[in-house]
Amino acid sequence: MTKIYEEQRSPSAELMGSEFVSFDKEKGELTTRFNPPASFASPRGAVQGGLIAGFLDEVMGGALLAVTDEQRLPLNLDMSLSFMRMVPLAPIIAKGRVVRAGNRVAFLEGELYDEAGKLLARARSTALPTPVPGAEE
Amino acid sequence: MKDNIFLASMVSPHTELLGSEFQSWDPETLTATMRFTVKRDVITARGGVQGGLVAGYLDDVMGYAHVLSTDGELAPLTLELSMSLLKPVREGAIIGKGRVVKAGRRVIYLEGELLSDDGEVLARATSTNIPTPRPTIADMDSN
Repeated sequence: MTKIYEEQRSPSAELMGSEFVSFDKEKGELTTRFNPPASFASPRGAVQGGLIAGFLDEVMGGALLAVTDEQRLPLNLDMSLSFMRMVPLAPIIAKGRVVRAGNRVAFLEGELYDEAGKLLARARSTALPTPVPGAEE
Repeated sequence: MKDNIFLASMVSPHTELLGSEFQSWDPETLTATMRFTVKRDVITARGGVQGGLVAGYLDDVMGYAHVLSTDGELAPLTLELSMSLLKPVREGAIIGKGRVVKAGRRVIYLEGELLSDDGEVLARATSTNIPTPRPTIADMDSN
């Protein structure tokens, strides 16, 4: 599982600096750490609301990849986000889970926490599971 | 249209990342139009903007609409945002439109769209926000 974090990083994954923490196979839950780049800040001095979705998408996508033995990545159709607290420009913990992965549709959810464990934001996404871009089918 | 002098102070670190450029404001329909230059940094292996990060552009243009509708007094703090990703958002120029649907004293409803240069809708969003005094980079420096 950790190897996907070393290979094939897309520019967006590179930008957000995702770091693997753990994967719980039973729960289908991936945990990663991010260090939000300064370029994500709004004038409030925290990560701009919309860009928070970038981290959530990244960890939810990683969860689907892990659950499908690195065969599928989500192509998002819809995403809905709740922002509970400001996301600081400091390391954050992300959790992504596969709620259900069918052949045609995957339902994913994710949360961001600060280092003290406070819930910062959460997301739900409806996605098409597609082959990993660039991979052999 | 009044001169929106405060527009210069709308610059934010994410302005650079998103390649944001304000275009116009229509006070009749409460609609802001922006142009974004999508950078390679936000692209995935599929060749489009990472789905989550699409919300960054939508949030930016929806925020502009609310700020402009209050003559730069207030800015939205987003509580909830839902978006539909209709087509891939590619590297290069796109258009953003943000509109104030309803601005109450305590809650602001906004909507936004991203369009390709030839007018195809790529993504759309609605958001629920609370109004706050508009923060500026100067506030950031004094924090």
